[in-house]
Parts: sequence; structure tokens; C-alpha cells
Amino acid sequence: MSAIKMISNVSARRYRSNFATRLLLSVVTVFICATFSYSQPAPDKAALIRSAHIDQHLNQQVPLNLVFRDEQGHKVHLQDYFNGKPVILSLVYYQCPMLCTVVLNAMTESMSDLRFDIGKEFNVITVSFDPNEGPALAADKKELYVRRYGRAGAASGWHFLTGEESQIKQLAEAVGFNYAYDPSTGQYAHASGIMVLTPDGRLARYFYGIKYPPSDLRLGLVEASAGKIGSPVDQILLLCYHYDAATGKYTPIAIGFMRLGGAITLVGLVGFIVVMWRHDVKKKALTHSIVPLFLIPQLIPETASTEAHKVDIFFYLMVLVCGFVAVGVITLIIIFAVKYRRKSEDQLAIAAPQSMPLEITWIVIPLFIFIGMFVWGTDLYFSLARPPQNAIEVYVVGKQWMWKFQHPEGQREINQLHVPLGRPIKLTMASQDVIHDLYVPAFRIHTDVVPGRYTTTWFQATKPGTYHLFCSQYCGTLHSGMIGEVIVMQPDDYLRWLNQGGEGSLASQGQKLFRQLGCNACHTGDAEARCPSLIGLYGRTVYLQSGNTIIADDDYIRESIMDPQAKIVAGFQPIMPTFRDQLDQEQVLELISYIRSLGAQRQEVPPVSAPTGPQPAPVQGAIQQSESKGGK
Amino acid sequence: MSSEVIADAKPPEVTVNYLNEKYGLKSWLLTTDHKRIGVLYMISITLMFFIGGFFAVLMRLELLTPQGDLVTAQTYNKLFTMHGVIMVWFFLIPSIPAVLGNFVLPLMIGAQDVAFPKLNLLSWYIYVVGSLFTFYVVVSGGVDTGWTFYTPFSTAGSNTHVIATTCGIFIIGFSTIISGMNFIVTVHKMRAPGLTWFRLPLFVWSLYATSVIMVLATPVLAVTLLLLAVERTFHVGIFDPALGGDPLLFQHFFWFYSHPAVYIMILPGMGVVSELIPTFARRKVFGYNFVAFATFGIAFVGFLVWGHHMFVAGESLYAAMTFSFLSYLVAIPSAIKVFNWTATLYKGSISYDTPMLYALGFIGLFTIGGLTGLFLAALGLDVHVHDTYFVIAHFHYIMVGGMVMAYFGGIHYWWPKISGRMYPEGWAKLAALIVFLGFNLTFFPQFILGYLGMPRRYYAYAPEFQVLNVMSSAGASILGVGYLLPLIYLLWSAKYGKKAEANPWKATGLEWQTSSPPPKENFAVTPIVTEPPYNYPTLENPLKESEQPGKQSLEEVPVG
Amino acid sequence: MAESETVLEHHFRDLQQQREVSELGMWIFLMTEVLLFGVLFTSYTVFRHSYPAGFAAGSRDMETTIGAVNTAVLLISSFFIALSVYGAQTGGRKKLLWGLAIGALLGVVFMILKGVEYYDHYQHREVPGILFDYAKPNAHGVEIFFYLYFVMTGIHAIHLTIGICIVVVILVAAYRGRYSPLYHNPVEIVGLYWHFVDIVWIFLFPLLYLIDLKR
Repeated sequence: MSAIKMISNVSARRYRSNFATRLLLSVVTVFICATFSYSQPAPDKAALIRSAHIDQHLNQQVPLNLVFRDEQGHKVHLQDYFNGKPVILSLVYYQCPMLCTVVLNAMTESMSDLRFDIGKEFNVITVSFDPNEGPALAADKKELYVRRYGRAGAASGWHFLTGEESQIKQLAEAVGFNYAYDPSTGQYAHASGIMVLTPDGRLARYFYGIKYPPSDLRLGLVEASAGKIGSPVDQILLLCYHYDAATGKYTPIAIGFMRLGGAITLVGLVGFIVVMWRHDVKKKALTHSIVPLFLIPQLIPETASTEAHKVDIFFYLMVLVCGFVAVGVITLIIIFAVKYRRKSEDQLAIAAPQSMPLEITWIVIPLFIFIGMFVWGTDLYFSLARPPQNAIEVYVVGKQWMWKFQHPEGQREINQLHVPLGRPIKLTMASQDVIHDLYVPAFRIHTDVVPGRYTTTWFQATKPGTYHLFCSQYCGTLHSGMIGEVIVMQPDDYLRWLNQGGEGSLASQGQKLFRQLGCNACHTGDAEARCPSLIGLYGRTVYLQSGNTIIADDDYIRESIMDPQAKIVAGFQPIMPTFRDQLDQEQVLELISYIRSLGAQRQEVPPVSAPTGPQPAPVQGAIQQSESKGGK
Repeated sequence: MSSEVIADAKPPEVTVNYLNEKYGLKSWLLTTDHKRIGVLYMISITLMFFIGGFFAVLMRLELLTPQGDLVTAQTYNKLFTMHGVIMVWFFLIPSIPAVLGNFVLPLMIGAQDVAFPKLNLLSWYIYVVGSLFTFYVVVSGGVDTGWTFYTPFSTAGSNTHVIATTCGIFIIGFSTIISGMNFIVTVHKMRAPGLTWFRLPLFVWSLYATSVIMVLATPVLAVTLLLLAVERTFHVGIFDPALGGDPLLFQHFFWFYSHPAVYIMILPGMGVVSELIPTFARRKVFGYNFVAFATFGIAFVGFLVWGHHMFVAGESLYAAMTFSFLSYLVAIPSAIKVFNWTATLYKGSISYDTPMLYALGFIGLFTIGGLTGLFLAALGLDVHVHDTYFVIAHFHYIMVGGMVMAYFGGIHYWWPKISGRMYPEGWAKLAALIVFLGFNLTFFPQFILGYLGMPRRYYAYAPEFQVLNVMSSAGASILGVGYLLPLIYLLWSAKYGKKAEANPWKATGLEWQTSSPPPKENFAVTPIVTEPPYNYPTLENPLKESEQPGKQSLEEVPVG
Repeated sequence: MAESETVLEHHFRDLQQQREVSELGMWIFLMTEVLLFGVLFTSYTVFRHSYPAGFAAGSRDMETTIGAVNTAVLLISSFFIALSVYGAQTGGRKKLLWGLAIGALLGVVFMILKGVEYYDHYQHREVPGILFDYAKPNAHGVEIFFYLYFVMTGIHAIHLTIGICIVVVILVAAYRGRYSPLYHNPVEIVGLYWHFVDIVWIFLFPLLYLIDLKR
């Protein structure tokens, strides 16, 4: 938040005279605010509104004729303090052991961060709702907090009041502040929060909780004052920030942005984007931000995976921020071009000085915005790149021009992928020939399928249906025909589909192949064998002849089959022939699946000594010694 | 200096200039005059532009219907490949540097010619030879790898004329390198007395930065394509995994060239706009130093961002992260430029001559193109829009909306100097308007198509994408008209246009101090520069006529 | 100044400018060359990392003796070219002519030795893409090693051949008395070029011949 403060300070003080500077500056200020406030964590309000609560009586008049006593014990009317300035009102009781102190501290802290001074731009009234408390206590508190606030003149602007029960009740009712005495503890149960009142005593804003972001507070005051205090930048901010009654915070909203930019239209851009943004408060995870949704279905792709929503939110935010810059720049160009058009042939320009601060402003502010975008985008990318542990693994082989899928249970499909709803699916992909790319727009996943290595991606479908599957890396003549569909099914349907036959699980097919190729002749699993044991290989660290180590993952196993000489396990001879010409990608995947089924061992096995004891192999008899007459 | 002497800066009725100094085909084909070479380039590049454009029109026609019934899939693949190859290497990269740069650069710095005039001519011949290879490819059946030549498809998959195409590009690479070398040395060593670095027009700065990229990046492409051709011919190599190679290495090499190449294309465009805006706003460029250094910032950081073309290609997470960050960094200098151009307009005296219309269009479209680049630099978003029409729209906003706009602006701006004639203003404005509208109609829908998930290089597509594709195709036909118009009226004006004065725009800059068209030696006497660039008179400080930039200095120092 | 009139090209102010221009031009050209070889060296690094054993095995099949002799030949040739540049600058006609002549001659010697090596590899069926037959393990790595070997030394050899041709042309011009202490840019820039080609070999030699000396 300090960034916002800094910028608006700078803008307000230094460049007051320069119209262009100001306009540009406010443009960028808005972005930065938008960016920052989107990334604020949501407050934990559940704990705060436990015992009692605050009802919002927005825009209602508070009876200003109520009578209280000030710190000196004088009778005062509330209206004495409403002298053309907005008022921050807090209801506490002074002997409160916990929450009220926190509220007062937080208020003080926020107010210390404001440019506005208590007593000058606004007043503060703190009222005790315990009728048993008297002026002496109030005076103590006042001294404490005025000192803490530390600015001159605060004493005349911050009033700590006490009063009679009837008056307190009326006030609390008027502002919607509910509290209750708990005889068991001798304490009051009450909510925490403060209110901002307009100069004529109407309720303008509520702030919940024990944290009142200074920027929100400032905007609340500016709004309550109806523009009498604050800079024009604040006014622009108010246009773009919207008070969200549910959370008691100011959140930037699309409507504000678009209203500002939409007035001046960029041909095309606005035509399409203005197609209405909608405030979606239903989505629980997003209560604090806004999900703009296109109303015209043709303009947005289907959203059918957990990650797709996250991508969309980011995308729309980017559209807003970038759309705003684009509209801003183009607007300025049009304004300048019209305003400063050459009216006579020999009209001269007006000299304007170069401005170093301005240059630095439009270097530094975009830099921060860009860093924000970078961080968000990277975060998203990492979550897109890292499949959850419990994902179902489906193998994918791309070849000119079709997609083949192999389910772990043995099902095979071409150009169709059936998946269950709500389960993460990890795709491990290989290419038979050239580079392809698996792209499912509805899931927002997109990964190249590269020959000679495995690539992975994952998704978790959220909506049953049939979705496009495209190859999006140009791969030859029928590139545009290398399409298919992903069919998301209810888990039950998926199980039924799986049971429609098949040739046994992928691993068991791999086992068959393992025998056919005679691999078991050498890879016997014995300590004396000529070849390393494969039991528990998958995921283990392997010690190589070269002195390096490597994790036995899909890529390593694949390489060891296709190009056995590339990485020799320590203690073994390079005697294995290549199977490059005998296996296609699908068969390699079957073998990997089989080796995988031999168990992943956590422990690192020291070099040479292959594990001896019998390992629980899920596929029975897989690695038993074989008498077959030596494989290739 | 030997033979003729141009007596006066104010020319008499019939002057000897570079155009009429000698006649005949031979005098053109053997010329070493940078201005004539610029014109030669202009003719050849225009030809290539319309060939590439023709392919684009066919593509857009084909995409009118989802099922693809105009041409076959294979033909469509060849169309987009040839469109890409021709536009990138035979139009975008040489356009502004080789045409406008060649013509204007020596004039701008008060030199008689570029540093190596013979090499300059050689570079044009190399360009022609490269183009002949491309013609051969077009005539003999085309190539279908896409302009990116990704392996192993280009080495093992395609059975079209890959080698001839790469040869053409390999050859034209030398043309680019020679031009780059020539410009760098020219700017370093051939400046007029008094023309210090910070008195250089910004177009010179950007040509200089462009040349540095040309010189450093092009050899990388040359060797890469050479290796590709060897691999394809001898079936041995380092890019095909079946041969033990690594296809990603090819992508690294290719983009190490091709990303900086994008800046080869756009930086000169920015340079042109940096000339147009001050001229037609009659005002010094706002933040001259910042714009100049931003040019170099782009050139430098531009070399470090190639990996952002490979976010979904299987590069490591952390490499992707680094490239993403650097990509954001390279956006900063572009932003600086846009803001500074905008600020230059403020309180200017703005006229709406055609070049200015193009310049204003440039800023708007470049801004959109640049901002959508931010989407692509964001890792999480790139995953979705990578290799979709979003990318197509993005780089066409930069390349067509930016670079081509700037090129047309520049051509109109310097046309009086090149041809000695004024173009017809009314027609030119109309054309600029048509281009602007046609362009947006063509490419804006493609952003939406991209986000909807329509992959690029698709010959047939899902029916739900049709509406937007039809809009785009409609725009393309308007755009086509917009590009044909200037061809017609510029050719017309070269013969029948109103005679141009030496300085029709009342611009600063040395090129406007000599006659239109300039004599063969450019300047009767070597100019001496005593002022900062863009020193336009202002309301506060109106200079007298005699003090106008560069005027009197012309007559001071005789040549050699 | 009569002489300078004939050698000064029309668009330069003076000989000083002309010399600076040609030298800067050459340096920039050499920059592009660095990038050109950079691609090859990068590929070398990548694949040596992927196939360490194959590269070691390939390197063992190199004729290290010829390579070493060739290195010496090139270094000595560089000395003579430098001598000729010195001769051109100081007006030492003998140094100029003999320096160029011996330099070119040594270049030719290098090419002949290289040819012998190439032929030798051909005999051993070690030319990927044309005749390659490698029965021992790590065939893939060895093949790529030889591929890069031929590409790198081949491109280097092309550069050297061009260098020899230019040196001969310069030699003829020098013999005809074209150069003087006042004007000898061509000698200087061909010297730069020659040294560059030499330096590339200095990198190639250890990377290709010496990576696995324990036999």
C-alpha cells in the first residue's frame, strides 16, 4: 500500500501544474493500485464476526442529537463534532481486555499512514458502549492514543465519549452495531469494525475486522466528504475502485475501468471487450476479486478444468490493465492531435521542457506492473506444469496425423480421450515422428510432444462434456486434421467405460513384450546377472559408470532401451543392444509402465550391489529366472 | 570531387540530380550511389511484398470456410510458408533499412555515400540472387515447413524444396550482414563535422542498433540453416532425435536469430516514427536521450529473450521463468518510446499530412501489439495462447500495424526527396485510412480466435470459428486495396506529381537541406552541424529564417 | 598527395578516414564470424555433454600429430602475415612480399595436411553421411563427434582457402607496387582476417584432438 501512497504523494505535490504529466501519472497509478489490490490476501473474517456482528445501515442518518459526555465530563451532542468534515466512528469499551484495544491500535496505525490529519480533514469519535464507564477512563485513553498518533491538533479532533445506556443503545442501533453483555466473563461480546460518516451524519462506509488498509480508509473518507478532500487522483481512484459491501473493502472493479476508458473508444478493442463485465460474487474463492465474464458465448472458450479458471482470471485482469493502457495512450494521442492541431500554416509549437521525473515515472511504474504480471504468470505456469501426486497417468503418442492414448488399465484409443470428472489426469507424451503439440483449449493446457523425449502435462476436468483436442505444432500436410476430442465422463460412467474390455493393463502388456524381446534373459534381477536389476528401479537414483548419477525416470528408461550405450550403470558392461528399430513409441511406453509396476523404491541403492532378496513384484513371475536362450 | 559542381542549394529549373545524371539500365545496375541502390531495393522489395501479400490473400480466402475447400491442405501449408519466408526475409527485414536507410542515412549524416558503396551494390545483388532462389521454389512447387523450419519435420518429414528455400535465406543473410556492416561503419566514421552522437536524428540511432543486431544475429541463422541443409542431405546431424540429435537445439538457434530479427524489423520502424512525429508536431522529440537509449536497450535485451518462443516446447521451468522475466524487461524500452512519442505531441503544432497519419496509426497499433506481447510473456497465459491465432494477431500488430505502417509513412515522407515529386495528398490520406481500418478488421478478430483456441497453421478449422474468420478475411481484402492504392498513385506521381521543394515539410535534418532529388554527391558542400536535432522554432524562441537549422552552414566548408 | 588522389575513393574526406573505415569494417565482419563459429562451438558443448564417452572415443581416432603440426604451421603463417603488415607499414617491400608469400604457402601446407587427415578418416569409414561405419559402442556419440569435426574444420578450411586466395591477390598487387606506408589498408585487413582464422583453429585443435589423451 505504501506504493500507492508514494505515487499519489508524488503526483499531488510535484506535478501539480502539468496537465499531461498528471493525466499520464494517474493512468499508471490506477494500474498499479489495481494490480496490488488484486493480490491482497483475503482477510480472515470468520474469526472476527463470531460473537456479534455489524449490520450495514449504509446511507442512513445517525441521530445527531444524542447526548454523551466528553473526556472532561461535559455534556455534548454528537452534532458538535459534525462540522463539515467526515467522521470516523468506532464503538468500543475502554476496559475491554482485547479486541477494542486492537481496533483502536489498528485505527491509529491506519490513520497515521494517511495524508489527512485528524481535526483538519476529518474527525474521529470513539464511543464507549459500556454505560458504567466514565470520563476519567476516556481521558486516559485519549491521552494514550493522541500521543501514539503523534500529530499536532489531534486532541481537538479525536473525541472519546461515554454516555448513558439509552443514548448508547440508540447510537448502536442506528449504526447497526450489535453487542451483548456476557455475565459469565463480565465482558461484552461484540464485533470489531469502524464506520465512516459523512459530514452530515449519514453512514458512508463500514470497515470490518482489525485491519483497515489506509488506502481503503482514505478512499472512504474522500467519498464520504463528497470530494471535498483528497486529490483528483483520489477521485480517479474512486472511479476505478468499488466499495464492496460484503467485505467492507474497496476493490477495484471492471466497471470503473471500462467507464473511464469506454467513453473514448478505440476502434475494435472496446467494441469487443466492452461486451459487459459481470460481477460474480457467488464464487466463494473469489469473493474478494471480480470475475468478469463475457456474456456472448462465442467470445470465450469453454472453461472445463480447475486451472482454466485461474488462467481466465489472469487473462481478464491482463485485458483490463492492458486495455486501459491502450485506451489511455490512444486517447491521449487523439486529445493531443485534436487540441494541438496546426491551425495556421506557420503556427509554432510551444516549447515544453524535458522532464526527468516523468521519464523515471513511466519507467519505474511499468516495471512494477510487469513484475507483478511476471510473478502471477510464473506462479500459474508452475501449477500448470506440476501434476498432483495422485494423478491418473495416461500415455499419449503423437504421430502424423493422429493421437493415440493408452490408459493404465490397458484401454487404447485413437483421437479420443475418455477421462473421469474431478480426477487429476497426467499425460506423458511421446512422438513417433516430428514435433506435435497437444492442446485442449477448454483446459488451457498446451504442451509440445517432442520426439526423443517425454513431456508431461496435466488437468483436472470440472465439467462433463466433449472438448476439442488440437495439434498446435505444425507437423505436416494434415496438421489441421490431427484433431480429436476429450470426453469428460462422470466417474461411474468412466468405470463402466474402462470395463468394456481391453487387453489387460498396460503393465501386463509390457510384461508380455519384456518376455517376447528376451529382456528377462539378462535382466534377471540376480546379483550375479550381467545386467542391472529392474526391480525398484523406477524413481531411484542410479549410479553411472561415468561417475554421475541420474534419477530413473521415463526419459532415462526410454533412453536406456533405445540407446543403451548412452548411460551405463556403474559396475556393468555396455553389452545391451539397441531396440531402436524394433520398438515403436507405444511399446516403449508399455515397457516403461511394466518396469514402473516393479515398484518404486525409496532408498538409494549403492552402486553394483543389486538388491538380492525377492521383491514383491505386482506382476507375478515377471523377473523370475528364465532359461530362455539369451535375448538379443 | 571531380566533375560536376552544383552551384547553389537553390536549384535552377533543370538540375542534375542522381536520377537524371545518367540514363540507361547499365547506369542503374552498376551504380554505387546509395540513393540509386535504395531505389533498386525499393523496386525489388515492393515486388516481394506483393508476392507475399498475394499468398496472404489466398490464405484468407481459403479460411473463409471451415472445411477448407479452395485449395488442398498441402497447398495451404505451402502458402503460409511462402508468405512467412517472403515477408520476413525478403520484405520486413530489408524494407526500412535497405530502402529508406540506404537512401536517407548518408543524407542524414551529411556524407556523400555509405562507407562501402561497392559492397552496398553487392548486397543488392545478393538480395536478388536470394530472391531468385525463392522464385525458383515458388515456381517449382513451394515448401511446406513453415517459415520456422522446425526439425525434425524440415530435415526428415517434408518432401518439398526445403534446401532451395534455406539456400535463398542463407544467401540473403549475407545481404543483411553487409548492409549492417555498412551502416555501422557509416554512422561511426562518415558523419559530417559537428554531428556528434547526440545530434544524430533518432532514425540514425535506430538504424545503428538494427545494424548491430543484423551483424550479430544473422550469422547464427546462416550456420543453423547450413546445418539443417547438411542434415537433410546427408541424413546425419544434430537436430533429429532419430540421429541422436536434439530438436530443441534447433529451436534455440533459430530463435536466437529470429527473436532479435523481430527487432531488426521493428526498430527501424520506430526510428521512422521518431522522425515523423517531431516533423509534423514541429517540436523536439520528448526525451531524446531516453528514446535513443531505449533503442539500444531493446537491441541488447532482445538478444536474451529468445527462449520465450519455447515455453511449451519442453524447456526447463527455470529457463522459462528467466526468459519470461527478460521478456518483460524488454517491454520497458518500448513503453518508454510510446510514452515519449505521445508526450512529443503535447503542445505541438500538429498537421495531419499522410506520413503523420501513418505515424499516429503506428503508435496506436504498436501499443496494442506490444501490450498483447505482455500476455505472451506471462508464462501461465502463454501456455494457452501459444501457437494460436493470438500469436498471429500479436505479431501482425507489431509487424504490419507497426513496421509496415512506419514503412509507408517513411516512403510518403521521403517520397519528395526520392522522386522529386509530391504524392497526391487526398489519395494518400484515403489509402492510409483504408489500411488502418482494413488492418484492424483483419487482425483484431484473430486475438479472439486465439483465445478461443484456434491453432495457427490450420487449413480446416472447427465451425464455431467461422464468423471471426470471415471478418478477418473481409478485412484482408480491404487491406489489400489499401496497399494497392499507394502503388498506383506513387507510380503516377513519380511522373506527373507536383514538383517538390527541397524541404516540403519544413523539417530539420540534413537530408532536407539539399535539393529534391539530391545531386549524386548529396551535398554541394559538406555541411557542418552546429545544432541539436529537431531544433524546431517554438513560440517562445522563434528563429529567424536565416537561422533555420543547417541553412547557412551549408555553404561554409568546401569539399575535400 | 598525387598518390593519395588515386587511392582515395570519392566519398571519403581523406586517407585517414578511409583507413579507419576499412579497419572498422573488418572488425565488424570478424564479429559476425565469432557468432558463426559460436553456433558450432555451442553445438559442440551441448553434444559433448550428452555423449561424453562418444566424444572421447571420437577424439582418440584423431591424428593428433598432424593436428599439432598444423597448429604450428598456422601459428608460423600468422607470424609471416604479421611481418608483411609490418613491412607494408614501414615500406619494407621484401618483408611485405615474402611475408605474404610464405604465409600463403603455409596456408596451403595446412590445407594439404588437412586433406591427408580427411582422406585418412575416409579410409577408416569415419565420414558421417557419406561413409560411416563404426562397430564399437557409442556409435551415436562418435558419429555426432565426427559430424561436428567435419563441419567445424570444414568451415574453418573454407575460411582459410578464402584467406589464401585474398593473400595471393594482395601479393600480386603488392608486387606491382600498389601499397605504400601511406596506403596499405588491404594488407592490414587481410592480416586481421588471417589472425582470426588462426585463432579459431587454436580453439578447434584442443577441443577436437586433445579431449581424451589417455589411451
